[in-house]
Amino acid sequence: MTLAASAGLALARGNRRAQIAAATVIGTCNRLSEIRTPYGRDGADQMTAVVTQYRALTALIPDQRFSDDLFLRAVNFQAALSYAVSGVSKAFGSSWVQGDALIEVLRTEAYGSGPAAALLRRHPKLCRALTIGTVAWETAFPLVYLLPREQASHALSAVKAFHAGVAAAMELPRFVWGFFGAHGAVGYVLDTRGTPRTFEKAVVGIAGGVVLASALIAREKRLTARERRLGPKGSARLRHAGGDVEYRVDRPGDGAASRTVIVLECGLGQSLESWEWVAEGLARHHTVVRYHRSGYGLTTSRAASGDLLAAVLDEIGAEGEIVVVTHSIGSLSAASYVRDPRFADRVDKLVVVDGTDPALLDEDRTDRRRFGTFLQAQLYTLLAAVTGIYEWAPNAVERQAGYTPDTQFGHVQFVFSPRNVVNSVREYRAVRTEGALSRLGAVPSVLVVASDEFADQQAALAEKLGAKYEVVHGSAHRSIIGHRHHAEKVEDAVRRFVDAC
Amino acid sequence: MLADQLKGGATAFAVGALATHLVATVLQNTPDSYNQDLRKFTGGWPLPGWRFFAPNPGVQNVHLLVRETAGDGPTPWRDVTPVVPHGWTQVLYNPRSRGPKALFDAMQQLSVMSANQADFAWVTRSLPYELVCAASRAAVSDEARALQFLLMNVFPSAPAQHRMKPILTSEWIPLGTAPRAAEAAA
Repeated sequence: MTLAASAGLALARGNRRAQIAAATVIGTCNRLSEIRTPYGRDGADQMTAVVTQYRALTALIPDQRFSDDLFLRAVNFQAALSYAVSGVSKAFGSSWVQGDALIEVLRTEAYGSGPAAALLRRHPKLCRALTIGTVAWETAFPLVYLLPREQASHALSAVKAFHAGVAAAMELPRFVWGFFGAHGAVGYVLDTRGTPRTFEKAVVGIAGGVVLASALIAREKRLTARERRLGPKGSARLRHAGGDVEYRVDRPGDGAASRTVIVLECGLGQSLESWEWVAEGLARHHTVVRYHRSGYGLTTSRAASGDLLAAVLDEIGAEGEIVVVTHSIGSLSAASYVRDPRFADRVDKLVVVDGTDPALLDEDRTDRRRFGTFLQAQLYTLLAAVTGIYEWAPNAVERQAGYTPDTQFGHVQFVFSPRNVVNSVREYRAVRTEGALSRLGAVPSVLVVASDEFADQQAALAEKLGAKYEVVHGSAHRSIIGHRHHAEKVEDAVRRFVDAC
Repeated sequence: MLADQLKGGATAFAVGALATHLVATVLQNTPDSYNQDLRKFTGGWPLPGWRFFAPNPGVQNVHLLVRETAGDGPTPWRDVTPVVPHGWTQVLYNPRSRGPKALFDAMQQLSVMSANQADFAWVTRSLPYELVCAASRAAVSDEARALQFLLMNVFPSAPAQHRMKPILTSEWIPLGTAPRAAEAAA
């Protein structure tokens, strides 16, 4: 039926009613096909759906001129959006920015078996240039509306050549049919430039307004979270080395804390609230100290972790032995001070919860692809933070954290603070790994508590540290302390470990 | 008068629906998966996703492997990935590429479930699992009493030791004769 309608559409040139009827049939078949199975479809199907379904919808408008104008402007909008979104999304992909994407795609069976693919594979430098060139021209596509008409036509011809090249190399001819059609609408808008109030400008205005509102709401929430930290129920601060150190101390309510002090080291970009469940349990019998390392939260001091912690312990008068409990990259922060003369005699127990293996971190930082992937993830978080997307979209931070409402609020706003995201990148690059394993392994008693997600990796780390090893089944890297039922197992493991030694 | 009102209503409906669809499309197309399913704001009208091959393109071949039991022990694994012809004809017309693409889409969804540590019982009730089940059923012999499938990612650009990565091994799926005959006919 689609084929027949397509033939009708081609033959009905100049006959508006017949074109609308054919487009309606194609659009309906497209939708029914999608309902039957959402799998196996691609962007060309989406563009076909946009063109045909928009045509059917605008046909409801009795004013023929307005109907056609609206239809073409809406299709043009989607066409421009498709190129720009594709380019911007690629700019967030490390393999695109580093020039590897195209050659890797062309090595797959699905997209690397076209007649032109073998030719391209023989010229890696050309592939690299095309990869980066694709990111650049797709991102810059909206500039076509600023070009003089003739140059704009040349630009559209170049885009058509790109689609033809994709068809020849990757055997994706559907994109040719889907997108060439949309170029007619782009041409229409180019020809009618100068109209003061147009449909697409209104849509851009509304979308921009929504994003701005989202960004402002998120910013306001982050400011509220910061105000709470500064308030009487917030965290404590002390001056040290020309800046502040943010910390929190929890003790048993009856004042019967053991002399042992438990220090909780946060993971990369994580708030001290991330330890809430564990701290709450451990503070029934012990003094529990949490603090933010340099650059995080309200900690403005540039001093090293050991200096910050020493200042906090002095401030609260903690003199007993210290048990350090770390999460993720917090293990490397601990490695920087556990053998420091100020702590070496006091720290004889260490618990590493899903800790960072220094050797793996070194590999991740020196491999440009892996480091690119890390930067990519941080860039996403930064984008979500600035635009406030995290406030209304599901995200891994909230999925892996289930604190009480106020704590959850403080933790989420902390993780999505642009300043903390940037500081995470700084810390990831700067944290020292030399000798970290030997210093951690030199602590007399070490326990590794692993999430299910990284159980094998943590088993290897435990072996390197000569540590005891436990797994919290069903947990993931962040939920191991973020979900109460997992955190209680971590707390139980820490308590048993402290009591047993 | 009524006719004018109907015309005005139709125009307002079309303009409103298009504007909503376009705004929702903009908001849905953030560079990462930081997006909700905004279709609830468009009355179920699908929103196009324009992140072609981005941000991280699929650089793997998805292979579907199947083994079966027909009385004795299980047969060895067989690769039953749909075979697609390649050449100049496919540059112009390539409908058979949809099969591997569907497998790839299903695999990606199952990978996400796996990464989120979804309960296996939930995975087995999911649409992608059913899709791969159906493809596997069509690939086993008529005598088979049960089948098991394995989805395997092969990364041609990766170092040899990281090239193959199994995504999902199904449970043993008992086979009824009648439905399979109908599927084969279909």
